[in-house]
Amino acid sequence: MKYDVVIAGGGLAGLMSGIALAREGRSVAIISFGDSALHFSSGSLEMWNDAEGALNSVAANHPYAIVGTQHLDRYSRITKDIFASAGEQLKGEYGCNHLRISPVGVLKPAWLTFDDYFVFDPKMTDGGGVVVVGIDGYLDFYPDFIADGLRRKGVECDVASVSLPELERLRESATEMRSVGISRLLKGDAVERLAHQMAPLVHGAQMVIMPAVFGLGDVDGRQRIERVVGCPVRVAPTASISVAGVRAQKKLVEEFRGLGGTYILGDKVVSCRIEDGRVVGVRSHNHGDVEFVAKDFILAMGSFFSRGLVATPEEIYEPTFGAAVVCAEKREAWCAERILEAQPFQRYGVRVDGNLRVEIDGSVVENLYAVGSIVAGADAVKEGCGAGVVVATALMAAEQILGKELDVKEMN
Amino acid sequence: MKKYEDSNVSANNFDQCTKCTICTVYCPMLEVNPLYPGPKQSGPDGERYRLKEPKYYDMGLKYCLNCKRCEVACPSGVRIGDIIALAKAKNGRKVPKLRDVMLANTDFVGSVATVVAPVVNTTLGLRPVKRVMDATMAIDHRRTFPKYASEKFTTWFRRNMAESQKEFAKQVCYFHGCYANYNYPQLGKDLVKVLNAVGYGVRLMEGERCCGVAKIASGLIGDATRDARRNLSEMRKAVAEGMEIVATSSSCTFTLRDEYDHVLGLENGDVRDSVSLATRFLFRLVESGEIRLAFREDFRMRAAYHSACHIEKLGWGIYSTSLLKMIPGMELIMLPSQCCGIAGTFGFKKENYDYSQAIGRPLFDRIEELGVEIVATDCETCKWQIEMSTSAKVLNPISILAEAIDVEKTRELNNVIDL
Repeated sequence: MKYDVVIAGGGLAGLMSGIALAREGRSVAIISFGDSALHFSSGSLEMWNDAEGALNSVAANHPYAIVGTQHLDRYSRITKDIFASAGEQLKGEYGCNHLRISPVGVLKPAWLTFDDYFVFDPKMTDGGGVVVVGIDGYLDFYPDFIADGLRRKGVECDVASVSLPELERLRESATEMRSVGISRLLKGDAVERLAHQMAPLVHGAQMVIMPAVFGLGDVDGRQRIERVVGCPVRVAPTASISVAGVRAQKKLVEEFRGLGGTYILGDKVVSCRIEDGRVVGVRSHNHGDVEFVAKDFILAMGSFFSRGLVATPEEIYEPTFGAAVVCAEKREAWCAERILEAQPFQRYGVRVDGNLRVEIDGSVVENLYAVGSIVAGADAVKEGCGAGVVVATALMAAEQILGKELDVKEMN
Repeated sequence: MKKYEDSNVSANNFDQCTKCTICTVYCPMLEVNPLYPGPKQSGPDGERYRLKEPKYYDMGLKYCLNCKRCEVACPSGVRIGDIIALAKAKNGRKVPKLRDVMLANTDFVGSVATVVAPVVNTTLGLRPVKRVMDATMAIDHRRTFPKYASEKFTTWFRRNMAESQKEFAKQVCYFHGCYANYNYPQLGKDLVKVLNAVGYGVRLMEGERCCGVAKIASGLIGDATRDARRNLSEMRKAVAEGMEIVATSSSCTFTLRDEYDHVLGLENGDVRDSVSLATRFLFRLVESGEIRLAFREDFRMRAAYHSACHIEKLGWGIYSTSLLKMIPGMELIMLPSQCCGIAGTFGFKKENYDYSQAIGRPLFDRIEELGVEIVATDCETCKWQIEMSTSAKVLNPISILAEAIDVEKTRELNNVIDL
């Protein structure tokens, strides 16, 4: 099978590269081993904990330094545009973080956030109360934690709880009452019944916050509740599966396919053929002797969680292409003793050159680019740069392959 | 390079599960039946307990469709569907119901039914008969039964084709399966037509048995294993003669390649790579330039492709759609990849009928919304389900190819000399 570009990995990184390339008319295949970490999205993309400060002084081997911080504003706009084309609006912009709320009520800086999610606005302190509405028996969302977080910011906050017979039934299942199950049931008149139950509980509030369980039932569930209760309804992240993340993943895959892309799920690259310093083809588990041939290849397999990187008692390696990895040699140096300290392994990943190309057997491969969390040098947890590094490297690799800068569409 | 991840996986690799719950998002049964324990609980979670004490076996596992969509979604490579299938085989009902035995023995029932096909077809279509079957055997009366052919594919082949096939320099072995043999011999005839046009003669196995997909699903592991051993020995003979084995059914293909090893525990590594779906076999030859296809100029079709669960697991829908897209007069629309709800014999059972139709509903609606007359799919039971539940006619991609190719021109392009 012949393509212009073959991408190993179908999460946010692979999809952003894939969509950017397909938009420019390239034929692209994405091979994804299972579904991605987007399924655990907080509802926000983060770029840097402190947007005003340290970004310009990142270490020389940080992915942002390789990409060039001067490009981040542009990549930011392209990211919003790609999400918007897929049908998912993001709010926020480069250079000015807003505060999102975590499932346990901690306000954290974020760069771009799904439109339906709650973000903190300082004006809320004098605008009347906020009511956090939970669902009876649903243990992946903690209204009291969220309310506490907001009270610490000076917002008047109450909690309430609602229930429906069909939601109650979920508690009988061994899979329990989870975001996905709730989301599927929020359709038709269930939404109205829920809204009418909420209305007296949230009367006079400036805003209602609910768990992020909208998207797999009726697409306009949240808006319909808004109309009944008469004030804005925003959502906050839940534990476990992120319904908004599932929704975004589906929309991005649909967008990619709509542009002519081939998205292959449940398969992985198992070997590659390199000739004269270039990858000429890869083989996958499912397709056996039918080789994927392409001009360029992208490694977007993610980090340890998705097995883009593998750690054994002896070594850390990149199993897909056998690319060179940056890590400490001695195992004792991989982890810090205390779990909340900066963990050295967070920065481990594939070594890339100034064009994001990887190294195999001591030499740079001309047409194999690494993007996303597999690239060495960033500590997504401590720096709050997970999604930022993903989209910046993904879009830069697309530009390297296209040999030109991507257009920025101005949005209103 | 040493593959550490391969060496630290236990035989039933439930220990690879990170409890991420992504599988529960994509389980079609969980979507319509919240009381099904779900793939994570039924698979890796439950396995921990069952290993300690079989009494932890949950009867809810009977709701698993064996669609494998959980495995396709799993980022950790856990063979969730296999774990559930094995648990069902080990802990499920020891003496299966007569109904389940009949539904699972597609080969035995098929060989009897084809002898008296007109009677069977008429009888199975009668409302009173359906009521009786519903009441006595719990086969749902709303279900339309597949028609049986009056002449088996193998009979037709041996009478009319077997001799001429030997004239071809290149040979391929066809695993026809129960469906092409008993229900729809035209599919087998279509494959012979296409393969002959590109210069391949078709051979059948001496003693092909049912692939066993329905028996595995019904827990008839002993019967399935016996058939599988016979098939494996026939497959080895074909491979020894230098032939590849092709099938027109995605579920047969998947069973021969993966279930024999994963569920029945039979060694098939020596022949696995020689088993292919017919569309994959053809695509490879077209892509390598070994064969060429010419199409009729007057052929026009607007069709929607439905990706059956087992083709999704194989990852091979791309071969069928790529071939269909080569047809100049074809407008091909991709349907969203989802289970149609039939899951082999699952949807025939009275207690499952409503779940079956609820699972397929969004697919049926989409087909009607598109207004397509033809749905293309590689699975025969999806065909029954979609034809019963929509106004569309369903064809295997091979049958569409057979209709679309210009046989004379294709033969010329491939230097096939008149026999």
